[in-house]
Amino acid sequence: MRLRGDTERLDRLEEQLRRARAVREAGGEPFYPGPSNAGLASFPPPERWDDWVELDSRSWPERSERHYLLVPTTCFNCESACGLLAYVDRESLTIRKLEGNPDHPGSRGRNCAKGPATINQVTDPDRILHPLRRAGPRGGGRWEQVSWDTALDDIAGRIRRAIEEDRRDEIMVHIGRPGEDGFTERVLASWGVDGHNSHTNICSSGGRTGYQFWMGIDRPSPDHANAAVVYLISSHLEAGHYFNPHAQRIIEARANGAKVIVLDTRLSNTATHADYWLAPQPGAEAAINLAICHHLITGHRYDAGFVRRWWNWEEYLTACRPDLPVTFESFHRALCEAYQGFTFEFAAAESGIPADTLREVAEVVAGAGTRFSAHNWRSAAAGNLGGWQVSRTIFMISALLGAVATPGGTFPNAWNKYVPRPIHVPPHPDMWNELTWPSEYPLAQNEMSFLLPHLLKDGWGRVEVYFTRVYNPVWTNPDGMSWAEVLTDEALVGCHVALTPTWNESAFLADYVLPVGHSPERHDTHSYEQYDGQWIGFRQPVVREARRRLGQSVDDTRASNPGEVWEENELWMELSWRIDPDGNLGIRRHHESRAAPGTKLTVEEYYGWMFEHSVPGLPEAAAAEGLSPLDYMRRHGAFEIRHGVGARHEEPVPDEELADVSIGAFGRVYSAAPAPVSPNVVPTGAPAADGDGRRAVGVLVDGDPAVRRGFPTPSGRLEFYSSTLAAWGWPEHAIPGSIESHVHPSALADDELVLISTFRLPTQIHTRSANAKWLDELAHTNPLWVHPSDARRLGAVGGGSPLDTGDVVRVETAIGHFVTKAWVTEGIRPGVVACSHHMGRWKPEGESGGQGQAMSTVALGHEGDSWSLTMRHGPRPYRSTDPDTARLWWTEVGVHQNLTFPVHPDPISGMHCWHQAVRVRRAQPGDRPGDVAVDTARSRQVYREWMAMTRPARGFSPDGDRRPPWLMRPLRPSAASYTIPPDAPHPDAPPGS
Amino acid sequence: MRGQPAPVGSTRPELVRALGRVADPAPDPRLCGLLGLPAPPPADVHTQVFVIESHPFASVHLGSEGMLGGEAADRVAGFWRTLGLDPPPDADRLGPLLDLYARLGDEELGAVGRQRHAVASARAALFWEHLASWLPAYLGGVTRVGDHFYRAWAGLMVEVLAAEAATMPERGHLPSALVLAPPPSDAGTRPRLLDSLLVPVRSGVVVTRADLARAGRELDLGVRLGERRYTLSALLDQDARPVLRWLGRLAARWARLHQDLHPGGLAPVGQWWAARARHTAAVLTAASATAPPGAPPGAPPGAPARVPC
Repeated sequence: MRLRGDTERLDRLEEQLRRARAVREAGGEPFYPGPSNAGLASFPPPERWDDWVELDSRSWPERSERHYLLVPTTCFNCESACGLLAYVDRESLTIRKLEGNPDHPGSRGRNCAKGPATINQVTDPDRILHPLRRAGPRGGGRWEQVSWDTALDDIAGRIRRAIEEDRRDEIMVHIGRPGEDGFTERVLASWGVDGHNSHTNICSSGGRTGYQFWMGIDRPSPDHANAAVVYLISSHLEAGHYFNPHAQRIIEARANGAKVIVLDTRLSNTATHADYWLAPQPGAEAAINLAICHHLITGHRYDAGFVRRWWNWEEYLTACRPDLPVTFESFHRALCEAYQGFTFEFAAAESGIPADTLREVAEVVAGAGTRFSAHNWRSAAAGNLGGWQVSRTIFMISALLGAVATPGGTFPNAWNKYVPRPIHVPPHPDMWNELTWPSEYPLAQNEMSFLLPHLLKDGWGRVEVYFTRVYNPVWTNPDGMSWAEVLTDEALVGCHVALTPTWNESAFLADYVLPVGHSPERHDTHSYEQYDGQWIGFRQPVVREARRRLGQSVDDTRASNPGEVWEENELWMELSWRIDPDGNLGIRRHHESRAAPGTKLTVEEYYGWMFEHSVPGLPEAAAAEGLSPLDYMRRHGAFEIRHGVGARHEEPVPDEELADVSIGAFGRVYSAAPAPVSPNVVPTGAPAADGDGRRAVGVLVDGDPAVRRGFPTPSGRLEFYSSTLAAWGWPEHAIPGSIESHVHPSALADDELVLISTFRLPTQIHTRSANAKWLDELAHTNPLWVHPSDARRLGAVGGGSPLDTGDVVRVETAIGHFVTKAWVTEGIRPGVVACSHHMGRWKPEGESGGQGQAMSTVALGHEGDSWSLTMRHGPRPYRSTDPDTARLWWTEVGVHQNLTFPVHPDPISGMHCWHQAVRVRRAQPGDRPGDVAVDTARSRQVYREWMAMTRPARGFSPDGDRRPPWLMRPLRPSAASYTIPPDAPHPDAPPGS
Repeated sequence: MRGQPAPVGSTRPELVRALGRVADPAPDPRLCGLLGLPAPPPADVHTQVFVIESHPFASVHLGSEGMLGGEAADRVAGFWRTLGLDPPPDADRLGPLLDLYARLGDEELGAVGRQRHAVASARAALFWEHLASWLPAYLGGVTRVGDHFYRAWAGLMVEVLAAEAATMPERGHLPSALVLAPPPSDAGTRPRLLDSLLVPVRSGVVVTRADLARAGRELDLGVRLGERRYTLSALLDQDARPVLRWLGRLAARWARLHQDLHPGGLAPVGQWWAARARHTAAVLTAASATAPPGAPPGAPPGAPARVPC
């Protein structure tokens, strides 16, 4: 090596570089293209997104360049709304692949397997590309292609007639994967219909309920990245199935020395990474949480200053301990007494985890201080009767530690979420739909969606137009055959419209199957709680945007999507116009342009208005790049509105919001000043006004003269004591506690086991990802997890050998049985078996639609109340536009276990309690994996048994309302609709009503 | 850092920054032109040089196992934290380190008084502890495996390092990573020899895949594809004596190369590296002398080792 050692030359180079950089940056262009720290995690730099060049892998060894437009969008598979970057070929205008969007504040360019696999869904050879109408009896398996006009005219006509004839409760939209926050609700509100139905009560209602009773907001936002201790009660949540953005932040926390504690009966992906994996007896989670609380309380290890300031302890003492003076010292004593039974020994007896282990974990928790991030979502909260107490007690740990809205703590999600106010906000519908919000469940967190077949059969109503929107109720809900019964009964369901990108078990029972788009084929905005900040993401049809960048005009997303696949926003706007073509019903005005009154609103104007008026900072950021706010979002796909929101409850209420103030009990502050119009319409609880109509605006705390914003609860504080539960018939649950699960050991027969059915696989998402070949190849079966000790015991019945992996077993539930293979593993607690979600997709023989990669073909048997699925054959290689379908190598896709589960509605949260008491035995002669048998008459009996546990509004409402108005409700009807009408009870009302 | 005198004279942050960016995939031809470098080669050359052959990480060159991460990477990350910065995931990679150095250089030029002295001290510590300690050795590897573009880039990089070193006050000690370095090459057994030979900070040599391929070609031995340890082990299986001799010559060449790579103020570091390489050369030469003759023609690959190492 020859060195010149010429420092003058180096100085000249330095000067030359400085000058060139200054000149270039003065022209507004970056001198150093691309991320400065590209390295192993490089992404195409945004300034090259209009012409990104890569070599075509299929041309190898020839070096053939491909030029791409890189267009951001957001993933549509799970709810996380991670950023994607679509590679749109500039020549063919087709999507070649999808990778992560580095500009997305939540996912930061990192995705799980499902994001890139979106390309499989786009190119799925079995996808639905045109509107279809049944060409025979419903469920007959024959379809004819129709135009969108034909389909929409028929559907709009039915809806219009229902509205005109005041049968508005016969219109229902049942949501699976949510799209844009509040969009569908606003469409229904514009129709004057209380017809929103969601899947939430088979999903997260249990978790939500516990959080809502504490803080008036029904989701937590754990700041995992900054935590010292991460405490998770989740079978899958942070493992990549759902909150990939959380998973990556937990990894960061661990790199910084955080401890991870996971409560999960099954060895989940997350549990494998934990410092402490606790595998409790299902249903014991709340007892463990309370034992930790007891340890914190009795050892004075809690943040007394925070508790004194923010808990509604004075209200509790006044209501429940009149024997004690209202002092904080009394409250401490009352806490000790209330939880004295929750010792480590008690929790050990309930959970099967040694007391010493629990004590050690409690010490780790106690040492976290305010850097304690905790999360419970689905899992135990969704599995057990009273599961909502699991989230309520996990939050109690946070609230004791003062780890609420602190760095490394847990925030109310509404503070870390941003829902921009849209161009039109229709009024609340003036009606109440008993099919979705039956008065038997006045405190239900969400619509009682999974009871719909039973309510219809009991004569509580009928549905004229029933939309399933990216939803598969027959497969996803418990008791799916009862769904099949009502969906094939035209007297109960007049017209079933399946809005879906892909075939599913419910679409087979539709009148219309209308193709809607995957993530790169539709518009939505999204925002989720993934750290202490607020961001919005923009989902967009990427080919449409690519064409726009190339100077082409696209006014209808169908023109840029495959086949006649449409996006929903345009679809709902169009349908609303067809329902009300002349504007007489008052619907059309909510879907009209502001810029050109009398014309239809376009998605450009809809989002252009939203980004211009409702997203603080976005217009300025866009202007800095010489873009409009809409074009900024089209280019970057996401925008961070705020980083570091902090403790909003401590914020003082501005003076202009305080007028003619009144102070209620325990310092609740009410004001006659109108609420300022917020551009952020994120849902929260809505505490009631005082007797004179002043709105609840804040709270006085701990002698502090300033009015603090507080929490959106009736008291304005964190509600350790829920006056709502006490007043609505559940005083025994007014403070956090532990409710004995329906699968508590005392409720099980000697030969019964607990079946956990809710856990997910990180590489699948419900039934929607079954059209992604990469994901199917990774995960396509759901064997029964059996502990070796149970395998020995079960195998020994009749003198046989232990069950071995691969042995075929029959799992018997209260209403039937399913057949699957055993997987013997120590990754599950003895006495518990588990079978994953996602699998067991099927289509009946003779059905012309379907998914070849993931569906078995079955003989569907039906006689009276007896139903059966008899396996004919699994997936087979087949020829299609995708040569990979000829290479299918898997022959089994598991079993549809949910069919054999009766409904278990929790009487308070309304959550379906998924855990099952089952018997497992070797398969009978003739059984094949995938076989199912169900008795829907028996499922009706179980439904009635659980309904008998309710305390209906008719009888328990303290004020004549159907539901406490302050509780959240996705589509909130008018205030007057909350009053219980003085009419007769339902015709076939179950016991207890 | 505390107690060290600050550097004197001007720095060239833009030049350092630009050289770091040129080491990224697909360097900007305009930038290369400004640096007086030839037109950049296709991306696969970058992959060959930076991903397959010679890895631009401090931990690879200073770590006790010659791999990414570990204590060596933690040491670098700790330096970032000392400055109050969040270390990026690849804090010990060439690009981020040069960026950090340039950033401190910019701050230094804009600061006055004690603040300037503090920043200058931080820059000097970064240079001495986390760049000078390994970067010349890394660049030596690049000069052996790179095309004319990357050889030119490495040459310029060494020039800049030497010029920057000239602005630093003389240090009375070696960089900590070298002071605390694991023991040098050890030929006691074959695993121990392999462990030490493939770890730059132990052997003083950056043995690349290209080196092993060249050894196979020149010695007429089969090169089995795999990670370097596997390939080298297979070469030794076939005929240990010439392979050890060949490696000994390689180490001796590295001893000379280190002197070229560490001119001026870098010389103490270069002497340390050269001493390691000389030791390795001696160990290998001795081992080759005691190794039994090669396997007979037709002996199966993977036959038991017949050398004492």
